[in-house]
Amino acid sequence: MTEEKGAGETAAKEDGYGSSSIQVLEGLEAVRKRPGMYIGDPHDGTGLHHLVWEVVDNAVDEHLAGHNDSIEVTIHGDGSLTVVDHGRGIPVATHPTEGVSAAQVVMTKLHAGGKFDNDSYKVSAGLHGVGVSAVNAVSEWLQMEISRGGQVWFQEYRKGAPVAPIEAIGTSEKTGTKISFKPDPEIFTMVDFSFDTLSARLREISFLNAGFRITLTDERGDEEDRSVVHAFEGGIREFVETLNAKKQALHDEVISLLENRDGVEVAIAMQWSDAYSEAISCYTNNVRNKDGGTHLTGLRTALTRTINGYGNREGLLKDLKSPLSGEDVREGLTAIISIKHPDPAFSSQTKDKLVSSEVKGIVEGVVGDRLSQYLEENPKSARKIIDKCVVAARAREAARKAREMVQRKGALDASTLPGKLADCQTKDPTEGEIYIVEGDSAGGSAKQGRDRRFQAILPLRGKILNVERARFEKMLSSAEIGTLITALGCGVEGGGNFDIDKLRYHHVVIMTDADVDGAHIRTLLLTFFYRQMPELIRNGYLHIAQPPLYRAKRGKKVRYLQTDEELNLYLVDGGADGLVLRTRGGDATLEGDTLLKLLDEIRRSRRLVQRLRRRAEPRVLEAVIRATSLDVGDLSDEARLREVFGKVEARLREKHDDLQSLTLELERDEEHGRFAALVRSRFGVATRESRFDFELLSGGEMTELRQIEAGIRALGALPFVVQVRDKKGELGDEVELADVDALWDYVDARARKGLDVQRYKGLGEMNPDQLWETTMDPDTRTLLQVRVDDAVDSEELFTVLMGDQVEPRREFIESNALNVTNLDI
Amino acid sequence: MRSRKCATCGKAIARDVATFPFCSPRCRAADLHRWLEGAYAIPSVETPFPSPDTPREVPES
Repeated sequence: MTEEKGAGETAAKEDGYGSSSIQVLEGLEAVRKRPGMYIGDPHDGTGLHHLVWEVVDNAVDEHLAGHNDSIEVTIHGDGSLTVVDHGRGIPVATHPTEGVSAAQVVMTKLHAGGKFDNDSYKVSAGLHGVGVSAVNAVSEWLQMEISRGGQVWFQEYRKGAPVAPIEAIGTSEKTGTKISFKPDPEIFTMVDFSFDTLSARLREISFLNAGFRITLTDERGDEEDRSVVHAFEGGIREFVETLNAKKQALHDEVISLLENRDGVEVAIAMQWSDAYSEAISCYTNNVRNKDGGTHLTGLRTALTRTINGYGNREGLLKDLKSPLSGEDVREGLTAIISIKHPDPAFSSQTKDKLVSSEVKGIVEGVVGDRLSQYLEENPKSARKIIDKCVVAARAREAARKAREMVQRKGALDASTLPGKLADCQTKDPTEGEIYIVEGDSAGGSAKQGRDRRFQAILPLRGKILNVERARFEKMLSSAEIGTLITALGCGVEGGGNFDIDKLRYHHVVIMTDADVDGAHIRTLLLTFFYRQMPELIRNGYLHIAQPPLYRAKRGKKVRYLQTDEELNLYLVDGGADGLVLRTRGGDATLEGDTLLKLLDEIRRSRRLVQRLRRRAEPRVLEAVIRATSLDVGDLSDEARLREVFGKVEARLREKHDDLQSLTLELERDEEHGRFAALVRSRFGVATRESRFDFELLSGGEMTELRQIEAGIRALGALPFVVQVRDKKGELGDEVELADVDALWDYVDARARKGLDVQRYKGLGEMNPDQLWETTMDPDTRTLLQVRVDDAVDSEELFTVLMGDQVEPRREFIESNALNVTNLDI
Repeated sequence: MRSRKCATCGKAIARDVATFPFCSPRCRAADLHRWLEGAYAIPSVETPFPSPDTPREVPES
């Protein structure tokens, strides 16, 4: 993507970030047609998150230019996302050649960002370069609010097209830009923003830009909002400290250096810990180069040479037969190298690898000089680092021995089968199944419940290990691993004796509790298989059992349910069974699927109201939705607002006996040139304030709530009328239900009538018959087949769990259940 | 296709190497060594000794 010169280029340049510094290039429709080319895969989440980076990059550029020290990113409950920065605000003056506001040009012309003009920013993040217009193009809607020059400007777009020209709606002393957008589900099949993905990259942006503060908030949960602040005053040095916080560092202070050589700024922070793996992250102009490149090569070459040189001079390497290898030197190293280059070259558009050849020598020189100096000045730290490298070199030797050990053990016959294994009768691997079961009690049930003709059971126990004072770890002991290898009979890759033809069972099934510890054991096992018996997974032999989470009983009918969602559906299904619904004022009757759909919308609507509860009292909000059609337009009209909240009060008085008082106060919202309606409500003794303002009413949640309500109103004037259809198809007596709440309560009460729900906490709570019926019987069970990708995910999770990565591991574990494809057998 | 790193030494590797997900037989064997040594352990959520100030859920019998 070279710099095409657009028409705007001829405009006179002004100082700073004015309208004429925006160039114009064409082609927005193309983005909708071929989103993959511009923003990445719309199906696997890369494209979706790319949208956020585009918007955030603009804010980072403002930071680099010295005008913005913080941003706030918020994921909303309706799937939209907002980025607020405190920069100068996108220019709004009319563009010299386009005849519309510069902001609209930025939003509607591809590659029209200020960064295409080198005068605006010295070093541009330039991560993606397609510009925020690409985001606009693929958004169902996008709202832009710009505070600049004392005024607040607002404009909305639908699928890239402006709804109206940009308009000044209020006044403000501040400056900045607020962009909210909802990715268009017509384009993205994957529309759920991942908090972890966003947080990881935002953290990266924050440590690469010392002092840049980024707040990420997730409003989607039913509980409290999840929020995290990323701010690293110490930049990459502080970040390496954070990365190593849970590891045992070999030397206290992070080795950190910053030098400008031949026009390239090299910043490096590094620290060795006692971990096994190496973690070096490379960046060029704030962009991650995941495949490294010349800066990484320069760093590695300098490390190996410098450490070997120092070690030899100090006589620390005398025992070794050969010099330390690069791998030995980098074991346990956590490092970040970030260079700023005026004109970097990459191997591809995604900038995965830096190829500017001069960088290798520059980095090598800087690291060589500065690291030698560090080692000379800090002999104690130097000694520890070298010792670690020597240990790594010896580990290479140990690995060779491990291989020999397994090879010796390798030959297998029936006499060496472990005693814990309850084997099956068949010797035909294509028929045979082995259940790897966590825990002795569950193992016992499984042994009793199985069909011994073809099902073998191997109970394994996670061993609990007291690692440090307050930390307990779970692991599979070496005996357990040995047992597993022997039972399967096919050897291991690491032992050099793996042979898939010797596998004794073609169904290998992992069966663990549905709790966190069960997930850990499963993660360990999956990782082990993936690393040491990958062909088992490639051949589709590895499976995960799906024990039920709930047992629901209504009358004599028993249902086993695997997820909370299934339970919810089961409840609604039961509540709506045989029900026929219409309204007093309408003709259409709802029954079966159409009724379930309505109930699902009501459920969604109730959840949305709950999600907004921090901004508005749920009962008040509910009344606003059900009794009025309040929208942003009404906020300009005082008389209308009083009328609306009159209706709200009437409805609340009718429905809630405990309503003590309701007062309405109208406040000027200068930023949006409208009123904000403050409603103070008192139910019983609890006083709450609800604020109905531009932000709330223009938000995605409210839009969706209004849509659902419109669907309900279209059914005709209330009350609802329900009748129960009996087995002969005859309709029973009519029951009138005044409103949505009454309908919901009615269905809920029906659903719970005669219902008994038991939640299984572990496999051990099921008796052998239940375990067979729900989880082991080939005719009724569900097994998940593990694919290589799932195992890769699992290994990544494992890597996090092993502590090679930062974030609080427990949180990660709890929020990351393994995804596996559903396969009915 | 996701790029991968050797599970032992962290070196970037191609998907089609024979020793996937390791860069070399050396690293694969080193991994096995760690499994057989019991070196891989992950934090447990269970607290074997409940501290007195944290209320524990009483399991339903």
